[in-house]
Amino acid sequence: MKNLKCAVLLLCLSSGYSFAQVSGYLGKRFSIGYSNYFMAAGFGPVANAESNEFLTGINSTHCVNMEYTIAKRINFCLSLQTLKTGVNPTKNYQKQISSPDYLPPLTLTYSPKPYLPMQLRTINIGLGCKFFHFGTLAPIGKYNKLEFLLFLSHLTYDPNNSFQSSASGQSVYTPLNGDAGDYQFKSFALAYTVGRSRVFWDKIVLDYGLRLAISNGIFTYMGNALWDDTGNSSYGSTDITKAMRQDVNKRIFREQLVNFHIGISFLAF
Amino acid sequence: MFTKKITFVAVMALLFFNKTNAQLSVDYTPIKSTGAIPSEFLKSAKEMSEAEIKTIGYGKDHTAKTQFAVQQNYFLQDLLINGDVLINDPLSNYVNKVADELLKNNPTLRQQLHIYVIKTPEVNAHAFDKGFIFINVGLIAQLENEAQLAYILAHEITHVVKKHSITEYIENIKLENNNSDYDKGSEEERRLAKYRFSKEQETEADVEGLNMLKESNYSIKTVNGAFDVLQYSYLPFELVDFKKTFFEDKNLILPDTLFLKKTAEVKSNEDYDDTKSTHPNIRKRRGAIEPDLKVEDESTRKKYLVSEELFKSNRETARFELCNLYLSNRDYMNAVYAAYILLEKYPDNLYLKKIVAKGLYNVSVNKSKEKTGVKLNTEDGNMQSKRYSIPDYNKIEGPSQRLYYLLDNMADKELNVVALKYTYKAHKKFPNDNTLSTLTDSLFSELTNSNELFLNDFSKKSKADLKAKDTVKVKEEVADAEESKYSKIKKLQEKADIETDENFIRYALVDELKDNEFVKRYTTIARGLTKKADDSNAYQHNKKTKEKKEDRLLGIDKVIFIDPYYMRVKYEEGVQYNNFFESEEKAAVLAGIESKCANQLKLQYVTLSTKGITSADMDKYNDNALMNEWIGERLKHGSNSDEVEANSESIKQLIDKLGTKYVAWSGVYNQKGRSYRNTYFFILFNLESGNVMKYETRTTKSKDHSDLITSYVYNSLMHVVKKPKE
Repeated sequence: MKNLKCAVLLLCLSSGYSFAQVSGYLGKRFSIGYSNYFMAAGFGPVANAESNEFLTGINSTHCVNMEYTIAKRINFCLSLQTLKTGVNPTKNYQKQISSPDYLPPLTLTYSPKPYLPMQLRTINIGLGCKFFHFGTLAPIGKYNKLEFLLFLSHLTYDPNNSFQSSASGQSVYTPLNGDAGDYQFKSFALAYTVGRSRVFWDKIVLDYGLRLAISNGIFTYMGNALWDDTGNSSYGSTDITKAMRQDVNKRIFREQLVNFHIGISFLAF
Repeated sequence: MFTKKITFVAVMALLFFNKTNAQLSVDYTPIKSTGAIPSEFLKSAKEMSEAEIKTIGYGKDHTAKTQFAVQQNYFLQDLLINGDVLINDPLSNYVNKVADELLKNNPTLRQQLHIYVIKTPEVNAHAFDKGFIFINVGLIAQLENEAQLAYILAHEITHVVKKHSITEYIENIKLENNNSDYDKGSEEERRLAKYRFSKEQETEADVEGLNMLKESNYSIKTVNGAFDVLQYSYLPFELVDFKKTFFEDKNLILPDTLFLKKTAEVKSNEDYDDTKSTHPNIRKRRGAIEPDLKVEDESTRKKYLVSEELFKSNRETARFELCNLYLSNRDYMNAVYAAYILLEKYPDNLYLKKIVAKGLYNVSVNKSKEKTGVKLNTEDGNMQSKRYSIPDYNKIEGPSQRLYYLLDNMADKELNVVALKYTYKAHKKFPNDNTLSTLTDSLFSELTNSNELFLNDFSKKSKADLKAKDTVKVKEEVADAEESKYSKIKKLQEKADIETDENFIRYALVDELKDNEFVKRYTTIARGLTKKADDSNAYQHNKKTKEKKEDRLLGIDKVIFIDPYYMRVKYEEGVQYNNFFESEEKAAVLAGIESKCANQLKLQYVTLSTKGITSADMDKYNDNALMNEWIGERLKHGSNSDEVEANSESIKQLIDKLGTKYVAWSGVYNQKGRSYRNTYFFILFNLESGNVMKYETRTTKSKDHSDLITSYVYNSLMHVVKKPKE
């Protein structure tokens, strides 16, 4: 975090020298504020989904963002985001239980009771630039934003909620991976935003738009059947960790793909 | 008693006339508005419109009448405050006296009329239904007598009385919508019907105007002369043969080839095609009133009821004004020719000499630019080039054609030398006049920079001297067999020069080259010690560094803000509707934004505005008029900053008064069609040099939100106030 502060400070200073002709808004070029990215949970559950029905609920990403006008029509943007959502309400995982290779992998079903999907929490760091349309001057007007997002994901689930289907048809409790139900992954995305910002009372910036983001989860989809993790189908992988990573990546991909956003900032200096 | 009174008035008038003429023989000061500003100037357009709308009621044609009221009031208000209208000046006072005579028997109508003279060179007059009548300076300059002015006033008053403007407006809308009783038919037929309707109104104004004139004691037979004035309005106010001796002296002899032996005759076509004209042709106009021209009491009627002397003195004033107006309107040929006519009468008039000098200089710089191919328009948001070129002399009738031909056919170098010689002579006659002195330097600069003529390109000996010397030398050289090849070449060239007229400028400055001041100033310019305006060079420097002009930091600490321009328009089915009320409000907001941004940037400013002026603010009104005139003229020059403005002297006084030479003008044009389109502009002029210091436009497809406009204005002013790096 300290390094980040230094980077911002350096950027401000250097841009102060390099772009002496940048006006910002009434001379103010730095803003700090809050944004919210949101989308109906169409292709995955929200964190507190109570059923297998995903169409209800809204996924929301909270974001603290800082922007600095570095050129007449360019804002440099740094943001810290947090997202909480759900993954895999009911899911089959295949696991190689015993050592003999000839035995087929054991199918374990994650089926929490009471119903609660695996919990995915991410902290995202975003670095990007807003390019304001020709004719406007940052930070006002329509813009296109390109952004790199780094996702630090934390997946938690109840390890006591997976079952092995026995020959008799009875479910037998079997821990998924013999762990405490806690995984951490990293992933990234490239985001493109079309938006518009306005300034009110010479101090408050209102920002709204639509963001499209392609995360590395797209590669998981390209290697697997699309949209297949919501039913009882199984992965080909026998590595539970890998399977969960794939689930997280796919969830992030779907969640980040299209989002609306609205934000409010304060023009500081 | 009565005879005594008449004699006294006549003597006073004669004295006044002589005094005026005595003044005119020396100099002339352009007229200004004086006294208190009339109350009708002080009302806002919105105020006037709202009051008028209340009187319209909800009857037939309510919408059209409302639209018309708003449009007319905004147009009128714009005209009243832009400074072209003269108040309490000799011309307006005289015209009003004529109106008093005309309407002696109708004081009620007289009270409803507001008659003013406006500083426009066109030979025209126009009226508003609200009772405002405007007579152009160009018209007064052409009139033959007072009765003609009275008839023209009567014509305009009829337009007011008959409410012709609103009637025509409503009829035009009906014709456009094809629901007019006047005419129905194809689009083209309805378009022609509009012209026909207008022509009928003009004829009515001619006939009713004549009836009005008959009720006064003005001569009726002079009315035909008023139509002559209109018919030949495209010609100068007098037809005087242009003599080549005007520019010549014993050393500057212009070749005969530069003078037309015969000028084009004045055509007298009064029966031109008026199908697509708002006015009937002159023949029809004469025909329409002809039966009514004969009156029994013509012998008792007079050409002058106010005063012949006053008429002539005011017409002379109008002619002097006209020279400057031509110059402001970039009509340099007419300016020089008009000054030439008046110089025949007042040969030592400083004002007229300056008109000629400025006119010649402006033609000369444009010619030089044409030759050197200097690109006047640039690519980084600069103003478009508007190069002046001399109108085709083939299209000119009468003796002024000779001047057009001369200046058009003179090479740029030749014109430069002729202009320099004329200006320097004037400068020597009026050494204390800064304008002539500055113009001389500028012409030196043109000579060295654009035309590359230096001192050694001019002969110090006159042709006559050289010819005499040549005869003597021929005899001596018979014995000199040792003469070098190069000496022979030079002698042959010199001989050829003497014998032909082609290189006439070589011998044009013989006397001037004996003048130390001339040589010193020329040398100084040639050595580049006197540079042109600083900001022009700065601009050139920045161009080299590929920096956009709009990005230049100027380091200016004080500016003059003038009333911003704001217009919101809406397009519906291809028809444009101006939202005047909103535009007026937004203009006030924009003025506030300018102040806010300037305060934030610690930029000092003075505001030159007619908003909120009181009747005692005549100085403000005149300052604003001067500024508007200067900016209007400067905009005509486009990106050519070398041309000199007509009112350069007055503008210098304004600079001293306001404490800065920089004037900032901004504006927004917002249009709503299928989508919004917003255009913002900002121009910063240097009033002293005429340079455009900053010209910025920004266009977005968005509404004109105030935060967007604020960001634009702040950015513009930031570049004005910030100092460039050393």
